[in-house]
Amino acid sequence: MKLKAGITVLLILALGAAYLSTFTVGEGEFAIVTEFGKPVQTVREAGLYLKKPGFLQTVILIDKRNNVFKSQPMELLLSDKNPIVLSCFVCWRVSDPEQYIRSLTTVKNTEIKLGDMANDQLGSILGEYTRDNIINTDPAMVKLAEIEERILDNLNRKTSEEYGIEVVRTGIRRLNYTAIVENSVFNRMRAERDKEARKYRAEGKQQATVIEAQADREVKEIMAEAYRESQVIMGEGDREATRILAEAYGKDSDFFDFLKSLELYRETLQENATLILTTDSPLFRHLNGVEPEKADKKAKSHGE
Amino acid sequence: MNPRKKAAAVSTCLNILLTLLKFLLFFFTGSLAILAEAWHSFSDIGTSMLVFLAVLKEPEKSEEGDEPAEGRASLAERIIAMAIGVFLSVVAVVLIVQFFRVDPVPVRNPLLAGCIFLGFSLGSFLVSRYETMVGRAEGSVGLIADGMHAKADMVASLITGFSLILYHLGLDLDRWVAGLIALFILSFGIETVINAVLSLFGKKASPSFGGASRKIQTALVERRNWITIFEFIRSREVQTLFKNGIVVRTARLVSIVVLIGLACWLASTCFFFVKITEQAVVERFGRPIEQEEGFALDSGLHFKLPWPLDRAVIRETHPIRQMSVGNEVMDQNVILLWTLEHGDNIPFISGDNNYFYPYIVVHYRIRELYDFLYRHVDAEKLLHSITMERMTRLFSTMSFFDIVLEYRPVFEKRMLAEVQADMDGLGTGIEIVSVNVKDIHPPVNVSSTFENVIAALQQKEEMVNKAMGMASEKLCTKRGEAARLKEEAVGFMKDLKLRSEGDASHFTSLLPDDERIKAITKKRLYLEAMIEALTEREMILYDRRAGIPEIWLNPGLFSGFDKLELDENQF
Repeated sequence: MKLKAGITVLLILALGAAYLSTFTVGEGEFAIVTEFGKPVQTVREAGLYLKKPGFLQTVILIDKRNNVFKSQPMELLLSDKNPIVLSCFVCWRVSDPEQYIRSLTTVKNTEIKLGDMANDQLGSILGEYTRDNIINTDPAMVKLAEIEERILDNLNRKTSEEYGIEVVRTGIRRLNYTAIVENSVFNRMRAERDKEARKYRAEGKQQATVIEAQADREVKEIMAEAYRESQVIMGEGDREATRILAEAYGKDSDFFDFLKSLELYRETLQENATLILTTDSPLFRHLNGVEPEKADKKAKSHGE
Repeated sequence: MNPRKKAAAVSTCLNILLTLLKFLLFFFTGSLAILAEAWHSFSDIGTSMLVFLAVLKEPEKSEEGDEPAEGRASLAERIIAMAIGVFLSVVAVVLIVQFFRVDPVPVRNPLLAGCIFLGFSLGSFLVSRYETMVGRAEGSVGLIADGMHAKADMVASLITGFSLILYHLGLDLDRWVAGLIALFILSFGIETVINAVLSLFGKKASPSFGGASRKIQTALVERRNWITIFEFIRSREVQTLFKNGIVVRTARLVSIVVLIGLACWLASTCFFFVKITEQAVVERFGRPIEQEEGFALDSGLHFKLPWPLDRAVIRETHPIRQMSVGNEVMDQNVILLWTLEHGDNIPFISGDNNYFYPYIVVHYRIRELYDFLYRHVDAEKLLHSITMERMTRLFSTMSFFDIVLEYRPVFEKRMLAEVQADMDGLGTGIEIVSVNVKDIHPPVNVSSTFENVIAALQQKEEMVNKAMGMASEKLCTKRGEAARLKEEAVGFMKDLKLRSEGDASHFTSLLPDDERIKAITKKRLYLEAMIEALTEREMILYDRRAGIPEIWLNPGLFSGFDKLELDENQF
């Protein structure tokens, strides 16, 4: 019984000792083993490791994976004196765990300090560029990639030795104007839109007028052409009719004259016409009891 | 001032001083345990003050009762007691939340702070001895109780002090000590609130500051209680109970059940399931185990060594996730109108200096679980930042209307390619499935002018269309008229021709060959024409032989009479 109890106690003690004397380092971690605060070992690979039990040696685990944070947005002056508000992001990782734990200790601390440095770099580097290097429809003029590259280089130059970290990537997340400029941009956009609207309406009027004028011209051309053609056709008709009649009437012009005269009488003597005739008229020669031929001769002689 | 009042006043002043010093120490060290201890001391001030007031009210010698004398408290006192109780409960909850959620903050100067706290515990011990001594000498139950409580404070200070010294040695118990003290404060706060409420409803004469919880705390540090417990364990009854076979058998059975349970639990940690949407990585002592193809295990049943040797990390990798970048639509049911605010209105600037609000949705999934887990703390946060950066860079080179109109599909393709290249370059293990421009619109306060432009464009179209309509109408009408004119001319021509032909034919028909017949025909025609012409016409006949008629006729009319006269030759 006592043996069993002894073994159990020993087992528990052994397990306890094993627990206190080992530590596990994850794939994404560094570990620093400290002995009464003094670092004695740095572990860079994942696995199970031994240490002195309990608080004789303690283990500080540090995340070696890439961290990312965004910096505080800030207002900057570009070299052309244009103000701009921008924020960037910084992706970093621990490169020297001992240096990191001495100089920065925590992620929050690191982000505050890196943010300060990133903003400092933004200010000094952007001061060499103009707004056209930041915002421009000509891609060749935009130097954002170059600016980011320079910030990355400068940050790494500063952080690699003193801070124990490596900056993997930086980038400008957002660009903005200050509130006053923002309002001016809004007003300009409104004015531009208004101009555009007016232009469209004026263009509409212009095009409508042009279309109507063209239509009027075409109408006139069409009507004139039609008139010309109709006159030609009518002229041809007249000519043809004249030719036909002339051919026909040419056979006996007296008889034609006679017939036309009769036609003239028929046409001209309308219902409301009043005729004043003498009884000498050959029409009425029988009224005088005289032969028409005689009456004619008589009338002629009388007239002479 | 008699010794009781003096002792109570000293206790209250010391508690106030201790509280201030502990808060000050917290600001110098940042230790959560010190903060909790400071609030704990703050809660003691109330109790000490209550004892002080009770001592002021109680008679010179109290014979019985273990509570300080309680007078009827005023309404203000009750409300103050309740407010203090609520406040301390909230403080305790905040401390407990910090215990669970906030990343540990390194403690500054833990050794010095620990030593100071050992000094505090010595102070608390002296106060305890002083109050107990005066309380016993003066027969004040309140002072004796407060002295016992000071002993409990001494223990709390000792625990805090040792935890700080251990922290200096590398063992971080700061949060655990803070959590323990927070539980004390919480029990005190809740009890104070309950007492205050009971007092308000007349169930209790006066609200006491956490009496029961203080008694429990005090009981824990009272030596005689521990002696009683040990004596009970060593008593014959308990020893007999342990020697009894039933107890031993029961204990053995319980042990076996516990061992079997433990074995079952360990066995259960030897296998794990991965769902169709998931992938898993097995870690052995923190190191991922490489499988046949990479590190990830696909869906199905898998085996591993039991805890704590192996650990399975399972994540949903196959489902397509989505991330809103730029602006996010707040309400998915609202109509996305330019003039209606529907997102968080974060403006971006286009290359032609215009503001606009893009709503970009990125669809992605985890392609390499190893990279996703072990290369980045938060690969999705990085994806968001990279997408923002690429967006800003692309937008800053494009005009607003390019972005809104024809460039959209190009933008999506370029974004996908560039973000994917960045994510691969950084080894995030994320695959971008698609980049979608859900919405892009100008600022809401400018959007009406954009709509005005569109309206103007429509008006332009309308004017042009109207003009074209009118022109078409006019042209068609006039073309018709022209055609009619031509047709009429043709008709006229034909009419004239045919009539002429008719007339010619008629004339030819009438024209006799023989002169005699011709004369007769002429006469006939003449007479027929006369009949036709003169019938029903008004006619004035006069006889020339009778001279010129004296009528109203103008003589001039007759001067050319001969001309009207039918030519006789015609006959």
